[in-house]
Amino acid sequence: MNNQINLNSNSNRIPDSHEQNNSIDIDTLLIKLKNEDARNLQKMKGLKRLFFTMIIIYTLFMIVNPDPDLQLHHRISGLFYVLSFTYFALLFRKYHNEFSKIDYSISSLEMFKKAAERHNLTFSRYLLVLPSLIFIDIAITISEYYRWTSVEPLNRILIVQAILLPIFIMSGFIGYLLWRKRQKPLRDRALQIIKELNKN
Amino acid sequence: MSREERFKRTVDENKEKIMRICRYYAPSAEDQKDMYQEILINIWKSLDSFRGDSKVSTWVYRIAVNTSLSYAGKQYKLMKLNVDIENTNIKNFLSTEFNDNMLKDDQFQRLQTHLNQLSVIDKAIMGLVLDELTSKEIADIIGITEPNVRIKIHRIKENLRNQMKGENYE
Repeated sequence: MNNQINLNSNSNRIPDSHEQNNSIDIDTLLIKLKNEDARNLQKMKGLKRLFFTMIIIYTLFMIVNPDPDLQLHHRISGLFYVLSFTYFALLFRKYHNEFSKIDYSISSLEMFKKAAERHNLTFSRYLLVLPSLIFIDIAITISEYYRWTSVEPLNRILIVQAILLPIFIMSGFIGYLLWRKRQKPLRDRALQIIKELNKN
Repeated sequence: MSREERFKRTVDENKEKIMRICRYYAPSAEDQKDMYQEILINIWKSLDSFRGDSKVSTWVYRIAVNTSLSYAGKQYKLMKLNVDIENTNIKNFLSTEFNDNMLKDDQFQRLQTHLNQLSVIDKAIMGLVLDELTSKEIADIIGITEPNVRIKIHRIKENLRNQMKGENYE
């Protein structure tokens, strides 16, 4: 089996020096592909470990820690941090799977329909992030509520919300701008191709 | 058979087809090489999804066409369809206009310009037509119905003929 593929190979011609350089060695490519697969797997494992470690640390130190100084509100706050990390980890895994497993072996129409969906920004995508933000919000509100004892109880909650909500909204807006710059052109292109395919 | 062996075998059996697709859609030798590599990467990634529902060659064509359609990125409207003057299939495709089965250089240049003015999908379909795939196979690759493929091919042929004919009378 010849593992050197020359892209300019016109069966009856002898390739010139430029063409000879323009070939792909399948064995080298295979090694690269396998290394890339291993790297991706390693990266995913690394992130999984990071999330898992954070979840374990927060669970041990903030929830099940027998330290008598640790009050109930600390534990509840810790629980919400853990919930937020867990939810975020699951969300990350979902998006990672969605983007890393693009199947090019399906029909063009199907592939572009999936691409349009993948690169679309819908209200439901924002809603999907919401539980993670709510958990973080509750965790921070609980811990700060018991710290600012000199402030009126309602004001404590309002102050935390006044700080957190603009941060969340700003993050959402930055997310939108990034989507508009990177994903929207891809979605528009996919929609254009779908339109062209469906045209009789 | 191991994954590597399946990959090598698939590539080896279909390298000519993949190379032709690259030559159709990538303008330079360097781009052809990049596109070829990209197609091989996607074959590698999709290897486990092959269930034998279609022929291996159709499956490879799907990956090659989808990769080339995705390859152009934001510049997809500028995607070219490069046809070799020696390609007899293009002459057969427009047979009634060129009875002697010969395309003169200037005619070929004009034809090349018209081919590049086709929509991205029409270029993809033309590439498959020039590779002598049947309407059914093209439908399977592109994902539209067979009658729709025939309509599109008929329209492309008519447009090209009319454009070439119109210019011949000028």
